[in-house]
Amino acid sequence: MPNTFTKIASVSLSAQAASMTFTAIPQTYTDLVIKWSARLAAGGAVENCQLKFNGITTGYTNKDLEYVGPDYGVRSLSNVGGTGDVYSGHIPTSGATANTFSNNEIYIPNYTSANYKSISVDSVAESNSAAILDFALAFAAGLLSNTAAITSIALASDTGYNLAAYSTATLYGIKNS
Amino acid sequence: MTTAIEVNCETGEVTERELTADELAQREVDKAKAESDRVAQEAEATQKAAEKAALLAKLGITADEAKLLLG
Repeated sequence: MPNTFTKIASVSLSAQAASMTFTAIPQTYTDLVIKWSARLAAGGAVENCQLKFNGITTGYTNKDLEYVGPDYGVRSLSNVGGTGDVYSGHIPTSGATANTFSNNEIYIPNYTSANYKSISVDSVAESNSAAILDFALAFAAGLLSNTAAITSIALASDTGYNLAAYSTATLYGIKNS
Repeated sequence: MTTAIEVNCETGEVTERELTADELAQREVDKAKAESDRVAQEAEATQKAAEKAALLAKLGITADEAKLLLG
């Protein structure tokens, strides 16, 4: 059972950017956690975001159980955004309520192992603007069919929109002893 | 200008750089895939809604009445 929780690195955008990437991730922990809060600089209401390990662009799969209201309700999706990356949460866009950001957590167990890499995600994004009423709650599980140890993690929009200023992400390491 | 922000976890150094040509191309691929998935999912949702409405009409009951039956 993990019993330590250590901040490894953090980033906060001072201006919009296409992606936020953690590189040279130390290989001394058991699991990783990313807590991130973001917004997109364009888009309609809420959009999906994606994650890539080690710059790898193939071999991802995921299952997503989400409530996206009011248009879609509860639904279960497979391979959201395709298999070139893995779903990493919903985030509000420039069309959402001003100054609102998402709350997302990504858990990555056994990131240094020589096995395929799994992740789990929980995410909330909300828009209460008069123009667009939309919000999303989601739980997701993902897999990268690659055995390389994870040394970098990139977060970006799935739709090609930039992450807005003040989007933040913090990477934590967890040890099992 | 499209930039990427990188944080080196060993040194804490934050680097801002422009996306490479390959990254820009990959971004377009991701964007196209996300859009095609979205269109497919919306088409599936529309199809399911139509099938549901047709079934309710065939049974002669409302959606609320169907919920009561299944609840």
